[in-house]
Amino acid sequence: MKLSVVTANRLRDGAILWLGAGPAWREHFAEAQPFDADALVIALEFGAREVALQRVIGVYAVDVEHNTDTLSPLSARERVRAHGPSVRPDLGYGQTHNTLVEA
Amino acid sequence: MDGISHIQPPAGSQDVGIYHYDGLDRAWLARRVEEFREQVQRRMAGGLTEDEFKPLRLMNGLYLQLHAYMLRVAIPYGIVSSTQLRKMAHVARKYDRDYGHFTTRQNIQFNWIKLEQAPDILAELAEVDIHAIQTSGNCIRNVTTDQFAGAAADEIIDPRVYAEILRQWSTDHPEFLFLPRKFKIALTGSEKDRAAIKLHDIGILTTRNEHGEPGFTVYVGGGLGRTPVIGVKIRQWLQVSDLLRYMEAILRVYNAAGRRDNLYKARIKILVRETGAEKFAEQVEAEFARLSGDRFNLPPEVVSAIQARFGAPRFANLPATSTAFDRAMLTNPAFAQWVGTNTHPHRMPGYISAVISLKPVGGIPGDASSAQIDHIAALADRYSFGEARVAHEQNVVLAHVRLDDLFALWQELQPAAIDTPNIGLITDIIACPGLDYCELANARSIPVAQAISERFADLARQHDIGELHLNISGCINACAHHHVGHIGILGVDKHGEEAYLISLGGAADENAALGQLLGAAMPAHVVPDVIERVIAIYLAHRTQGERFIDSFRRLGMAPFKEAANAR
Repeated sequence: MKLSVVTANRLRDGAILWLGAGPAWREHFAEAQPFDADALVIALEFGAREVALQRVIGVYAVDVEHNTDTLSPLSARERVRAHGPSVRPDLGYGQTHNTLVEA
Repeated sequence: MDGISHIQPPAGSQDVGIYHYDGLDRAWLARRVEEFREQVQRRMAGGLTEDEFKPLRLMNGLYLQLHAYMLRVAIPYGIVSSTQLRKMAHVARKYDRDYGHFTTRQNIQFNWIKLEQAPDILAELAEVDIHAIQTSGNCIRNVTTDQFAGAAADEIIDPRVYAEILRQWSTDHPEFLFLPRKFKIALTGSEKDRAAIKLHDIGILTTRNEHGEPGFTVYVGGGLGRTPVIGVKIRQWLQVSDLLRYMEAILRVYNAAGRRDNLYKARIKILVRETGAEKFAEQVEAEFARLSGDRFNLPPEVVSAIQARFGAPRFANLPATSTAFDRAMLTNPAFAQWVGTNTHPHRMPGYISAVISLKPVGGIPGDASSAQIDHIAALADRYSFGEARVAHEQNVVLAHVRLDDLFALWQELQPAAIDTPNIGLITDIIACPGLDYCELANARSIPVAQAISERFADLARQHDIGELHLNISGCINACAHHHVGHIGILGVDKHGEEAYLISLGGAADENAALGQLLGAAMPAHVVPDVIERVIAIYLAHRTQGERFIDSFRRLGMAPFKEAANAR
């Protein structure tokens, strides 16, 4: 089954966000919620409302694959967005808990 | 405007060879900062949509990249004071993640900017007379020039003065803020092209006529990107006093006839190609003839007035040679090796220009930490009249160093890891930020640059290979000028995965040429091996004194292709 997650950038600082359970925006890819095709439509509608509220910009879906119990974006571009610049691991996005954020 | 009258000139010597703003310049800049602050506030409050706001932020150099907003700050024609450098280091520390990235347009980019802080950053930059205006958008961008401007021994005119005249003419030019597409001008002050002028929308080469008078040869329609083109000459000789009139004529023809219906056909290079160079030149000449000589004339007194606003280093009267320098060259092979690659002759006896490499082995080309930027600022104060230059090759130049002081300067580079003796060698790689940062990129360029740098880390080997320009772009927009690298590498997307095309034979100098494709796209881990095999062919076939590019031109692509495809 094709799975996707929903991403955006936060308006005020440009930070990458992933739509997690709630629905709520999370800063860490590990907390992104995977959606099947039907659920994705609803998730993107939520994203569009968030854009209208000037909280986030550039909402779109990212195709992912399930590897054992983790998700991974299919494209190189989205893997960089999910984990940070590959050449500066010190600036990468660590997988921490309690990262619910307000857009 | 309230407050403007209180704006003080930035700290630092008026001798520094940058263009010194006056009250009018500062008042204008302060207004622009406040205008952008208001625009950001309206955006944050929902008064502007992203579609409405985007062109406004781009006009102020603010992009939205992969991880955050990116601010591109203009360094006019690459020349910067130590005071300005310290402010950049401060911005990196306070508002970013402690580093900046020097670009091929002689600018600096900060990768982790918050929109809500952008107006404060611009206000801080304005305190030292720098800004980000027209570093993006379909307007005339930062005019670039030779990093040895005002210092080079072979200079005919000082290109800083004319680059500044072009900056003032193009900044907020009412007709040319919404061109069909972005527009880039490069100018070189000698007949040696160190500014890649033929790869620009307009390239200006300084030359002399048969009477020995300095003037300009003008090229148009150069550019890289999706459709790489070497610029064509449309004026063999242009009087200095006609510079602005001729620029105005070119831009008017382009603005009127350039295509706005197709993003990929909107650059002037397409217009020149579709019109034909000869006919395009005729149109420019006709417009040139129509323009009022009085209005656009550039009289010597105006040039002198601009020249006078540049600080002039107070050079000492020195002998052409230095005993201390000669002794260090004889006794310290590492210093001698660095001098061999990282210096350039100066027009004044007893002085030399030093190039600080931002390409340590395995490093990120063009990146500098705030500590390194501060260190360079201190060295600029101690050794080069408080001034530095950003080269389009992503290195930094201290232009006016006493020969007597060069050894001491070199010793002070090592603690900051900016002493690599590799200028013009295979590890002096030009690389764009690529997919690690850039919204447009298809593939990462920095890790490939690092892998090649590490593969060829051995200095003796690098020096044996000799002059070789290697450029890596992460997409077809070619920010790293891969088309004109002796070896060019282009990152592409192959079914969602990164892959790389290699080209050979490009050149960015007065013999500018576009590289030819070596073969099919390959994965990143293969690239260093293929480069290795290409270099082996060069080393096996070169004649005495022949550079890589010379051998390629003599041998052609065939032996390199055969070696690259060998398994």
